[in-house]
Amino acid sequence: MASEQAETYLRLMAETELRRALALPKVRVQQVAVTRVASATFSFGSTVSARRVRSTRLSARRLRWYALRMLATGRRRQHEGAYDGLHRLTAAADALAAVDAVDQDVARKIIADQQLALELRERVFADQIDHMGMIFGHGARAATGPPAGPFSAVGIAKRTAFEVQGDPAEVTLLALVIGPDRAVLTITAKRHTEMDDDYDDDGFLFLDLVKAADNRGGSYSCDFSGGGDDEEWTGQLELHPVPRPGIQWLDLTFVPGTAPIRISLDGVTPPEPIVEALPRSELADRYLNRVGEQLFECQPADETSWSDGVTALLGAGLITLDSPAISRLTTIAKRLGACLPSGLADRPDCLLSDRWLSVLDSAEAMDGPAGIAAAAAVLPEFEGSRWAIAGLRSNQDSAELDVLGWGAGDGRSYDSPLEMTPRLSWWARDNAGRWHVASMSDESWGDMHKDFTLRFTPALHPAATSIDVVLIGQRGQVTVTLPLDWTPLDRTRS
Amino acid sequence: MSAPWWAALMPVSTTLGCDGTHRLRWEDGRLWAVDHPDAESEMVLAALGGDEPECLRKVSAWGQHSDNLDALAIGPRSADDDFRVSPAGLETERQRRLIISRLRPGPAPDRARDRRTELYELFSLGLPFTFRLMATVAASWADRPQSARPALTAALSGRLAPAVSTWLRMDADRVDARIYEGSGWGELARTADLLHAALPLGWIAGVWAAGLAVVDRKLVVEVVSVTGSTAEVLAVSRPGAQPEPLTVVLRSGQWRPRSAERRRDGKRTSRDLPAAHGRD
Repeated sequence: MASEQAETYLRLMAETELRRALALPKVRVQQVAVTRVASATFSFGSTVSARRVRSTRLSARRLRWYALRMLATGRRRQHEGAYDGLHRLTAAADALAAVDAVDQDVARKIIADQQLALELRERVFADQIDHMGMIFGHGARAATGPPAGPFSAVGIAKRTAFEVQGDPAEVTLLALVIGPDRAVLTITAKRHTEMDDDYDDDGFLFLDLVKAADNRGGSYSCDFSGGGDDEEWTGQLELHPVPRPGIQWLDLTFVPGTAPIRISLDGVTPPEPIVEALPRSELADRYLNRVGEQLFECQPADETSWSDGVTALLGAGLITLDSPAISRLTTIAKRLGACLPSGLADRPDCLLSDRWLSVLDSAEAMDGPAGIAAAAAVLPEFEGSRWAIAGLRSNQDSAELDVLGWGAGDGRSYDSPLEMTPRLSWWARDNAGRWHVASMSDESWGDMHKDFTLRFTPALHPAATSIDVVLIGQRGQVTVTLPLDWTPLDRTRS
Repeated sequence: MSAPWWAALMPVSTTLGCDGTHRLRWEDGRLWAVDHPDAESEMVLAALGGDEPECLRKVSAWGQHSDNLDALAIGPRSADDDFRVSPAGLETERQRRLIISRLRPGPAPDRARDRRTELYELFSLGLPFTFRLMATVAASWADRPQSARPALTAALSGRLAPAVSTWLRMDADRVDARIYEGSGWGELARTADLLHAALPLGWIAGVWAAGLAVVDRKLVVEVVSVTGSTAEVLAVSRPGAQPEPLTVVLRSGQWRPRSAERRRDGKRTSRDLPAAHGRD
């Protein structure tokens, strides 16, 4: 529930930052020419063809975004002072919104007003990023939940080898997830050939030519999205149309004339997720935990990059310096060697929870199994989103879990300023007792979808035979247990 | 008894392109289109599908934004603020909106952005009008500050802090301001490193917007009466002291104490006088 005290704190902070900005020199504003938009749009065409971009999923919406992004970043900036203040304000707004102390739309409005106030005083450039928000309606867009209808996930963990134009190729199928509006196979693909031209991604074009057939005579085409290096790509094969419920198997043919690989959809028993409510009174604790997770992920060199949100919670009276959550965070920061702001540096250490002790004590573990596991599950609708786990890869220092999402409950998108700290935490505990904390990578967003890879560190315990994946949100958590039946990797992925 | 909030805000006018070069005038708390004597009828015609004259569009927008808190969030904090909406800047904004309207998917109008552009256009009438618009907004919330207390507290703090910094030569960040909702002028108290101030929202409308915040090294807290370009105000010389009557006179765009006016004989001059925020 939004608090008047927190909103007042944020607005007064905006006033302070505006005064600071007025003490800085003006920026020199270059007028925006219409032709620059056009040229930025056209030059975008060459950008999207570069490898590693999920080119086939780029929509017109993204094209516009890239055009404006290039237009904004193409300007020369003389100093960053007022941007630093805007960043501090955004970090505070993000923290206060994350703990429900300030309404999300109010927080966005305060940031937008501050940006305009700075623009009109020539302390920041008239920023097209803000205007992207106006194009795409950030702040005004209603949250959209996941679509209604059946969801299913099937772990596969199969590898198939064949030849493409005379060169050996290999595709590893991790999992198939079928939702009401899309069906996605998560895969990795390898080609054992040298490709000279850095910008030539033709070597993996065969992934767009994959065909599938089901036991009822239905046929499917596939679109590939993903990226990688010369030898290996990871990504998704999206099937068209979406297979109807009730089919028993799918045969995938990667190259005409080769034997298909069969995916059985029959008799799959999905794991049962367990949902637990978490007390609203601990929202600030959970936010501080997420800050700790980010510290573990990034280990920043200075405190300014992570402490603004914490300072905001303290300043707005939502948490006190002597709270256990602050002590926990400062203890974690010290263990990680992160710089602490002066107000927090003298907090005494506290006893950490089992999960944090496990993660910190095993941080350097390099004993993870090298393999893939048929790990798949669909989580129940959770805080406005639906998540499906779509395959696990493990190597000696970490493990990667592919996740597909529906809905906009997470709040993370490329048109939201309030995304500095994720609203969700992903943890895992293997049955050998080792905890793992996740960081997101390879994130991609569409209108209704958001997919990413979770990288769990430290490595999975070599003796583990199952793993509990734990998703912690604002108001609850979901736990699902996945068996670890490894299919060995032929080499450790870097 | 206080003067009406607009009493110390002198009339201002400007010209704009309408059906010829027309005048807009702000006086006694309201904006009116001088060259449209039958504005009401013209507005009815416009509502029925006729062209809305630019003058009347501005007057209409002024009315619609008379309680728009964005004006206080974005507008100037002091006469020394670098705030500027130049005609060129407005043109750039229009150009951007043109680009954006062509890129924007879907036909749905963005009312929030339209309102923002309207506000931008009102700012572009010039600083004297901008201060009067902010005064209008503050006055509209004066009797119901509880409805938007965080935004109004920030609006007060953002304007009082620079004034206090001038008044006491202290760091503006050390000003703790809140909205005073009792009877009387408010409260001012200084602790070791903070100035605690509680002033009614009417201070923004009646005192600050008129350029009266600090006169003769005193913080003006209330306008009692205004006759022509002479105002009777209550001013505080130091935190903790009670406000005392002071007579100030507007000369060359600046409010000066009457005593200083009388002593223009080389013996004493007023210092640190802020400019009054625009006048005819």
